[in-house]
Amino acid sequence: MGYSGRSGRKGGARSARLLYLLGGGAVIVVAAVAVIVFAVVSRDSGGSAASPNTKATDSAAQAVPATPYPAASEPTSEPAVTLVEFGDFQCSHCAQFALTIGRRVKDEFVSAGRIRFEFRHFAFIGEESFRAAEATECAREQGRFWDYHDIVFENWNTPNTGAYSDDNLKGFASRLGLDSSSFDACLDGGKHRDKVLSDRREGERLGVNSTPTLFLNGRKVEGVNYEELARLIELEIAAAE
Amino acid sequence: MLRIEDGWGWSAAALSLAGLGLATYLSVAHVSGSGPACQVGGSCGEVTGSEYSALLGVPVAFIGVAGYGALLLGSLAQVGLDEPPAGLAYGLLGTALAGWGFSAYLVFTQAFLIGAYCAYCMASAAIMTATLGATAGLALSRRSVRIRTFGIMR
Repeated sequence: MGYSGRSGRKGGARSARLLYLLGGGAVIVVAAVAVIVFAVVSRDSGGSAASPNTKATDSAAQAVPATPYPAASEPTSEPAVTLVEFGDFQCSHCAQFALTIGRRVKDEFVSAGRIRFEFRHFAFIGEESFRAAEATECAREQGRFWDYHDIVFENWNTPNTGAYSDDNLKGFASRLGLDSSSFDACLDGGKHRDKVLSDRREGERLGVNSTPTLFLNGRKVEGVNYEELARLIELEIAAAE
Repeated sequence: MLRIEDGWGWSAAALSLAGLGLATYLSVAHVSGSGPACQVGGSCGEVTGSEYSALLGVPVAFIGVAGYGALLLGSLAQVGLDEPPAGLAYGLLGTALAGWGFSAYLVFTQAFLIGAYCAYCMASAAIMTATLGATAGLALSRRSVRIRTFGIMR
């Protein structure tokens, strides 16, 4: 004798109900899987959204090109459009942005002198965030801010686990061919700590509570892919002309 | 009239649906890298980008999708079947228990290995805990129904 606590219900109606329930559930599950598969396919076909970890591994053995971009904070002429990024070097999404969208922006807009691109420090994840930020400012003294910015993000790893130890930060400078003695003295002396803290305070004043946060001519730009960001930049350029 | 085991079953289904949505979102974020930004005071970027975001090469968010998907379908079968198999409620309980254990492991990695918390991951852990409660209620109510049916409980 089996359990039959629901034997009073009509079998046909129950079967239809079961069909609807399981069918609906299956559709939901399949839709969830389809969304993920679409994300995988989009990533693979786009070819520009490799994870920071992958980038770091691939780039570790490569020579770092010397000054691939004009110093983005020091353009030869003054463009009317400025893109500002608030970022933390330990933030994986900042690394993702820098190595994909950020690079395209520099390639297509900054190198052509059409916009000014500035990086502001919003260090909050840990002490290594501050040290990495200070190190980029030491590199700026030698005119290599963006090269150093890139090499730091290329070597992103789990936060606060030593990826941006002082030794590693000095190693990045050596790989870029910077003057080690002045770089090391700059970093060891905490010369740019105040600048990093000042940037953070500015971000807080502007309402930054996550990274990367972008401001295009002073207006916050949120949740955009490269195409959307490029479109907004073009609109700003057109409005300025 | 809604039977008590149906109430637990619908609760488990609703919670599983919420968990499935969350796990899907985190899966897309893991794959595309365009998910939640690094938030001040609780950063998902540190967690979803860490080496602990995959287990044996499989993103943990994918495992969440599979687990919540199985719980959703099982819960719907439970409330839809005229005579659900006796083992279904216990299967759901076992799956939820495994999911809860996995969630506990993920909370442990956030607290002691990564040193940061992701609000979405913590929400998933909370949902899985509630799902465990719902499936436990379902299993217990099924058990009491069986006892009453066989005349052991008066």
